[in-house]
Amino acid sequence: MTARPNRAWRGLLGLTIAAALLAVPLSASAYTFKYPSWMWEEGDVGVWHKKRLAEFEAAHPGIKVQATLIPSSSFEQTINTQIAAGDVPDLLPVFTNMLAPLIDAGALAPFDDCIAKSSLKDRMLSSVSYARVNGKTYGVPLTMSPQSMLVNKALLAQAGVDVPKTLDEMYAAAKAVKEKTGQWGYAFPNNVSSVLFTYIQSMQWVIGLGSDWATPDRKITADAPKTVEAIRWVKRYLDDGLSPRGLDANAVRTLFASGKVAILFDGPWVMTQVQSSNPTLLKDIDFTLMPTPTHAAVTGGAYYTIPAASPHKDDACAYIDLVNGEKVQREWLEGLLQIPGTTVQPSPDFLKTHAWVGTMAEIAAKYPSGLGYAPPGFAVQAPEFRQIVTDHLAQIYSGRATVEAGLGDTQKALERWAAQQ
Amino acid sequence: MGRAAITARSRPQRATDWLPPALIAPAGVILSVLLAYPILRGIALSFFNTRLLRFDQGRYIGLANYNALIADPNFWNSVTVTIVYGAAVTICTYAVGLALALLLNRRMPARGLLRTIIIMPWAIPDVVAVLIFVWMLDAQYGVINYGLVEAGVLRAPVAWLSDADLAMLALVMVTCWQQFPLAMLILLAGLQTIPRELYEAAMSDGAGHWALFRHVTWPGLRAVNAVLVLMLVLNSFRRVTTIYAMTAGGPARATETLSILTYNTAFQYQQLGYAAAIGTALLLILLAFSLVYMRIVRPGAEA
Repeated sequence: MTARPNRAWRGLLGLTIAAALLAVPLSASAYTFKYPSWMWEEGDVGVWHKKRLAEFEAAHPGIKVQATLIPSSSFEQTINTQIAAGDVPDLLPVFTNMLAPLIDAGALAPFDDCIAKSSLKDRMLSSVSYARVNGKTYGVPLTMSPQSMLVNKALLAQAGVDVPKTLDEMYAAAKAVKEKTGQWGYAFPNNVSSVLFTYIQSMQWVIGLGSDWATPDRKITADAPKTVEAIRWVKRYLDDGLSPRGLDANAVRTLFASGKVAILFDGPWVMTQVQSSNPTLLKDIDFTLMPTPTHAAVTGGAYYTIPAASPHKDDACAYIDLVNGEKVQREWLEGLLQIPGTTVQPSPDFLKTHAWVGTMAEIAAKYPSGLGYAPPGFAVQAPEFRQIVTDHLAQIYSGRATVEAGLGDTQKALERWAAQQ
Repeated sequence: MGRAAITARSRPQRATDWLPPALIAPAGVILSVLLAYPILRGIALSFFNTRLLRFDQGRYIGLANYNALIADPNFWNSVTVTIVYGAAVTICTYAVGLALALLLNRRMPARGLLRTIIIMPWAIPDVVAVLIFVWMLDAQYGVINYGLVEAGVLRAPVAWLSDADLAMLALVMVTCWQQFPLAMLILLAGLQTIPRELYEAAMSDGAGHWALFRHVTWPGLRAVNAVLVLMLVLNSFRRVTTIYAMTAGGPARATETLSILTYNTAFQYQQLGYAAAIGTALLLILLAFSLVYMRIVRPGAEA
């Protein structure tokens, strides 16, 4: 009595297994392409990326792009932990400061062959050199921009001063703005709990005076005369009440975008912020040369990379080609005011209304990518290096140590640390 | 007859012998996987020079991480910061919790509503509370600076979270605010277990408020205090979210507790083996504290 239903069930099971086995070859090319990024929900930038994602999926039927959003503040830690745990993305955008440690650890794949076959090979920025190690290319720029001087020309005009071209002029301008308008002359991130931004801001001054925290042969130069002079300049703004204390980078940008700061050293993304949060101010803002003796600008951004353990490198290569297409790169620049990772010739109309882009391109062409983000000779151990420098800057900025004594301590601490590396 | 009686008595006992372990087993297995394994794995990792991005290339280095730890000024700074933070948070939380528990233990109008309102800080998720406080403590726009300047307490706004002297104070205040409802609830429960007759007898002997507190309330809270203080200390030693979201251990390592140092070493500097050694040291410190503390406060310890 019961034998018949059992046989029927067994037959059904057999058919199901056979169908499943037959289906495997059909779906072998279908898979999920893992692409984590901090940009998926970044307003218009997120929309731009989602459009590219849709184009990629349309061109590659069967591939589903998994767009995982990881906040920029925790992106590095999250990605490093994921890679260490074996959960490897197929396409990985990285910040400039992430590049050297990932390359050093062998976590990224070189993709020179991919670049050679792609349409972007003739439009590469020179900043690609930062992603080259031993002749192999581990990343192509996603966005690359110098951090130079942004000025609120209306505030300067109210104070009766011009855009400063030297450090003395800048100090005089900041003082005049504070005294005549009550707004801040110069603002910079000095919430020392935020290590990266405090360090980068110090670099604007240190490289601006022709120094650095170390030399490429790993000699520490924290107490070099030019470094001391640079930090003395920064401290002067705090001591004289010309710069607000305790602000992080976001707070400083918000202050600038609301028209309460005359001078800021930062990247062109501040222009985007002004355009979206206070568009009437945009006409008064300019992006111009650093007033420091060398005019050197900290230069950084982000790169597209392909993890070494990704099983879908060819598709990652196709995706990189897609996002670097000439048309979409122009949209990236002219529509979103984002600095492209490839050479893009802006249209005359765009340049007429956004002259600062031309200035920025000129500045960007002069300085190598990654300048200022990582100390020469210590790119892989940069997080610890930056932490030590920032710990001592905290003592100096708060007045617990003089500039000379504080940097003397920095020198000793860095030398002690470097000897253990 | 005798053997039969013994068998009859022992049969149900054998059945109940297996029941408790069987019931505990699933939880035991889950705990072993979720707690014991990571702890043991962490201790094992502390004997290797493993780096985060080179996880498979870690080499056994014996006690080298521990030797480095002993010579590391950042480790000793974190030990000090942890003790200061733990002590300050425990004292503040306990004091506020006790004061409110004593207040709400009295008969008063709207007592239930007051209890509910006072519990609110505990119900707010850590991250939300921290984000609110970071705004309130903001050097430029913060309402706390505004209030203090307007009231004439401060001449100018201060940078609460980026001044090494003030950051710890701000952190203790916020943690105390988050935790005092828990202390209050536990102490209130403890107060309600003290028999009324003891107070009545003491009052009939002429005891005043202080004498009542000292000779009736305080001894009556002894058992509750023992557990509560241990909980508060352990909570503050292992607290990460509040500290990381407010100061990330800065400025200049002024709020870098051992938990934060462990996190920074593992995920910022990528020295997983060394971070595991710091974590193991923290575990040993907490174990030693708990053992000594429980020995001191166990019933009859003063005898």
